[in-house]
Amino acid sequence: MAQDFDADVIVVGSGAVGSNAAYELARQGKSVILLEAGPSVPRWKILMNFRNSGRHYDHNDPYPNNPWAPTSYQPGYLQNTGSFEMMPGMLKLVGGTTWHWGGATWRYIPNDFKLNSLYGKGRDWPIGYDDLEPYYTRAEYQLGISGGDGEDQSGTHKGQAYPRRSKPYPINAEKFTYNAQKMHDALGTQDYAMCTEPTVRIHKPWDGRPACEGNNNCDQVCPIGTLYNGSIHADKAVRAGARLITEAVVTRIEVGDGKKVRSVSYMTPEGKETKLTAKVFVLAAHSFETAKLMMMNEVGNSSDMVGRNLMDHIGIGMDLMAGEDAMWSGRGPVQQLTIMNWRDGDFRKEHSANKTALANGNPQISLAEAAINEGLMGKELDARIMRDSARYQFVYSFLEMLPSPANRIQPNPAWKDSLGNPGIKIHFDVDDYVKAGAVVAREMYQDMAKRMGGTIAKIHGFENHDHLMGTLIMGADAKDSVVNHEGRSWDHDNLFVASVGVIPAAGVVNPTLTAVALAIRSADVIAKEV
Amino acid sequence: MGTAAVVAVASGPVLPVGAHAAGAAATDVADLQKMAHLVTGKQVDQALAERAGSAITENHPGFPAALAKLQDFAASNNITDVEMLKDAPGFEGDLKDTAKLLIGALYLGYSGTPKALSSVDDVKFVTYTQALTFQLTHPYTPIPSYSRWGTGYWAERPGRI
Ligand SMILES: Cc1cc2nc3c(=O)[nH]c(=O)nc-3n(C[C@H](O)[C@H](O)[C@H](O)COP(=O)(O)OP(=O)(O)OC[C@H]3O[C@@H](n4cnc5c(N)ncnc54)[C@H](O)[C@@H]3O)c2cc1C
Repeated sequence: MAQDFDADVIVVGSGAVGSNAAYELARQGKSVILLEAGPSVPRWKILMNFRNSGRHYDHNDPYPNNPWAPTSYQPGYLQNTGSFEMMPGMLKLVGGTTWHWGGATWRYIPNDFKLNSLYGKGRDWPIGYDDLEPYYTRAEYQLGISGGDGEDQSGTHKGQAYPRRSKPYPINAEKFTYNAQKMHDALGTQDYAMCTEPTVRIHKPWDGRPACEGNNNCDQVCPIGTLYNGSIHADKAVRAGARLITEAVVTRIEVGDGKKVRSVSYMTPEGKETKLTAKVFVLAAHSFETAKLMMMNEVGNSSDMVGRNLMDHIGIGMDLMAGEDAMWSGRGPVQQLTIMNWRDGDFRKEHSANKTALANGNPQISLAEAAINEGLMGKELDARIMRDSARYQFVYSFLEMLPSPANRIQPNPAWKDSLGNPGIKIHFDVDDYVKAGAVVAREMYQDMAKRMGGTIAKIHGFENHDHLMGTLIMGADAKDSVVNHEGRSWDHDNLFVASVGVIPAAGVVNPTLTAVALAIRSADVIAKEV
Repeated sequence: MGTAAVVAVASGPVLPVGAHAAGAAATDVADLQKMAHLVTGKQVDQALAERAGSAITENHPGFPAALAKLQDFAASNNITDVEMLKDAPGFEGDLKDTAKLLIGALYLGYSGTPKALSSVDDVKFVTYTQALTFQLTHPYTPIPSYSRWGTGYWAERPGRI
């Protein structure tokens, strides 16, 4: 008997990753329902929330934080039991967490896919760079990325364009900021492998987005809509025929005959439950919420790997007071100049790789606060603020975590949201591979400071960087991974996961472009099957 | 209810001290603006001084009384500007802490103690674009989210625009 479905495909989560999957499927003529826990909020409201708040250090602050769909900083929602306080930024609204991201959109390099076979550490991917390359290209054109075509992004292919690309970046790379150029010149290309950060913060108009005006506010909210976020593809999906249901918190996944997922149910803020059926389901509620949802429903977890192997780009950073007095962080892009001396090489047998970059956010309120706390006032205070603001540079490094089943998230029934859904318990310890990598990064900081005629004011300890990989790990073996190379659950062949959580080897680059590329790849697979 | 009234009410019975025993709201407002000028050396507009005063008072109910003491201290030592105040003998402890609260609210645009990675703390909004820090630096950097400087300005050497 033919069965009726509410849609061909239901996608859970309207962030950059889920919305790209939804758009690809709708574009290919499939009927799609996109379920989103949070509301849809226009940019101007978020911008006004930002400008009318004193809490600019909290990047979640201008965004909706509802009792049924809390942001990650709602007290109690995330609870840590490990030695490291893992508190990533996560948003719940149409478009998801990319409303406040740096916009860095890198590709992994071929060796990142073979970490274990080349260096004996961590895991290999079940696919290689060449398998993903066409999807990287498609993702780059969907997101509208500016990057340097001729550059070596690996640190190991000096003078060559690397990794291989089948198409140039949609938009070329822009000129360095003044301070980045100064740093570039001081470090010198002889000893430092430097390149520009590929970015969705574009310096030329693209697909209805204006050129960047240098508002220096990417990781809070872009006031003019230059910086890509997932709501762009949520809108495109709707225009291609998808149905977007907002304030719909998916809580239940029902499995039927043949271990196929039959339905998902969502709750409205008032607690009304609605069940929807489809031929295929894509979970794209981000790394933590997707894993939580699967564990709550005991779905797709025969390997016991759901929620485990959490890897972030744990990093360190330095406050550098440059010798040059016109560096002025806070002009234009929040990130741009990148150092890849330690991205790849045999050293990965011994210690973590790193990606090191100049962060160009405006530091002035923090600098003023420190000076006031010190007791300065009047002319002395003003002079200090101006001196420090002109020289302060923040340099930071991402380190490569290895997957460990002990680093995990689980539903936490001890905390409940307004619908009675559990919070999230996290256990995370920084591994020795990362600690050894941090020693190397610190040595590089000393050299950088010397070359820049500056002094190191402080080296920060380990910090998280919101890149939540591993919890839905992809692999070649159903026994030790959650999904196969297509993003398909080993346990339920009509269930797919689209998330940075599937990434099995973290490398050192921001992972969201890779998750979008994988989601487009999954969408192609699904489109052939429904 | 106006902000000045909020300050007066929140301060409760501790407000009327010494020269300020008159206690009328208008006097308190004038004092805030004068004191804002005294501790920063800058003209601070009245509405901003009031906003700073009420934000601080929300977390520190004794602030109006403490500010009155600081005003008395300045008056009785003939201190007329911040440069005299900062080196004045006896300007320490509570007096200095009171000045720092007001300086902080005006330079940073908020009052309270930020708590990282939490949606809840006691920080109160005072201003964004009028924060004195940005008033100093904005010839070199746009106030974040308010750039009108055009694409690519960031490649140029920073200078007064
Ligand atoms: C400050 C900051 C800077 C960052 N910078 C970068 C960067 O430069 N480059 C980079 O690659 N990455 C960056 N990231 C990480 C990046 O934001 C994430 O990797 C990315 O947002 C993940 O996309 P997603 O679509 O999987 O998840 P999200 O964007 O989080 O979207 C998931 C959506 O699912 C919804 N949802 C959750 N649970 C449910 C449910 N039960 N039912 C229905 N809907 C649900 C949520 O409301 C949300 O809208 C940054 C993150 C932060 C916080």
